[in-house]
Amino acid sequence: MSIILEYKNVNKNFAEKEVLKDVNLKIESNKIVGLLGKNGSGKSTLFKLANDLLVPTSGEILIDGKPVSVESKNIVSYLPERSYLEPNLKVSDAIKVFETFYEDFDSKKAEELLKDLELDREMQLSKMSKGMKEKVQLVLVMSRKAKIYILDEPLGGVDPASRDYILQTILKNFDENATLLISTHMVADIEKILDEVIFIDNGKIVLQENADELRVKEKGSIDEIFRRKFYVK
Amino acid sequence: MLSKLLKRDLKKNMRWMWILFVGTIVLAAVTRGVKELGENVAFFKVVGIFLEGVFYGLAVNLIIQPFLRNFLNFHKSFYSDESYLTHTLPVTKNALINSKYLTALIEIVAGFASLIVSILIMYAGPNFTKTLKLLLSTVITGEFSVALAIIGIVALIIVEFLMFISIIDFSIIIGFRAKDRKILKTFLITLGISFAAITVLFICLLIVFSINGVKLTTTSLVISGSAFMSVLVSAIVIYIAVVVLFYFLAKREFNKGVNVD
Repeated sequence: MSIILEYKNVNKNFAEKEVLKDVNLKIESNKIVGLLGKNGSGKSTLFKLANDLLVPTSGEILIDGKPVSVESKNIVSYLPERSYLEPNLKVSDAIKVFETFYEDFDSKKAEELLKDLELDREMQLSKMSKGMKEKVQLVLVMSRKAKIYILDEPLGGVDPASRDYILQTILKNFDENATLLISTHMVADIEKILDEVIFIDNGKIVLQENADELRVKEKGSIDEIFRRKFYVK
Repeated sequence: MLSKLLKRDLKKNMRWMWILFVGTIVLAAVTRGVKELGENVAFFKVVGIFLEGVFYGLAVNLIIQPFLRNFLNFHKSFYSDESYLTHTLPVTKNALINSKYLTALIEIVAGFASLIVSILIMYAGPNFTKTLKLLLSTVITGEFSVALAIIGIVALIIVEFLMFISIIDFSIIIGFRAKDRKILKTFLITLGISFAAITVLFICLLIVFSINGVKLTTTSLVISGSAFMSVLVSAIVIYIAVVVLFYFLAKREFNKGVNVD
């Protein structure tokens, strides 16, 4: 399998604070990878670096073998942890923005997903709840035929009852040949879909392993191993 | 991609602003009509004065709004939540910056065009040129072209606004690199650069005054038409130089990347 995303000796400091410390990471293509860590462990920073929202203090990030650039943005579909759509837009306007800028955007798929998630395409984003806005962004991101999907806390603002449904939507709609990199601190909710897990703590990658092998080795679910590792009660 | 970005930026900025542009022109026409009626009917005279006051308020906004909205949108697009979309679009950083500069230029020119059209609707008549000439003669002596002087003054104000936008945009790029007190740092950088740019402008203008034999120590500041035009042209050239300088500096710094919160 080829390497789709690679972090080489990446450090990121904010003033005096070291947020990422010498991160070396290789993500293979065609896998569902979970980036798991407590709040403030550096998960979002790692994703933001791959999406040109932050500049590394040192080190290099390669996407499909090339540095972060326009080319990489064409193959990465990124869902940030916050709402980035203008509130005065309608859902249909947001779809138009994606149609305009992303050649791989599938409008038909977006319409189907909106229907599935019971979202009104004529509704204004400012009139939507946080969870609904997150669903709209998820629709936009998953309607692209990208090589890598980077989802930062996609279940954060979604009610527990909808989480399974959202996960199924993600699984059903990402290309089989693509890579799905998903970050969360709600490990129990996503562990069943993961091929590989990465644990991050205090800006350092502390573990990267095949999910099934890890379960056998540590005799427990990923959620239990995560709790044991980070002493979370 | 630049054309797509430009279309998006203009659409976003003009969503409400076109109402101001068209509204001012319409108000100018209505005010003129009411004022003409007011020559015979007292009621319309009062309404005319009220409408004229509103017109001046809108006219000032035609200039101020495009200026304010441009640097506010610059910050919003590149450093607020919306930046998570802007920076992940498959477009170059140069295209992002160019789109903002072109949007600023188009909107400021459109604002001035609306202002000129509405002033013409409001006041154009047989004595209009005479009134303008009288107004300009408080600073210009001898023979001069009213049209040329007005074009020069409008061009000067447009490039002056563009200069401040380019300085503020550059300051936002530098100020928002800081970990904290980003707005304060942006404000201080803007203040510093503006002070330096205006100082350079005044030094250059004093040289132009000196070449044209104008002494600022005399009580009267009325200068000849040719001296007035050379002062205008000099100021426009200096402002354009500052715009170009900060456009390239902003592009260079922006291409180094951003750190979005």
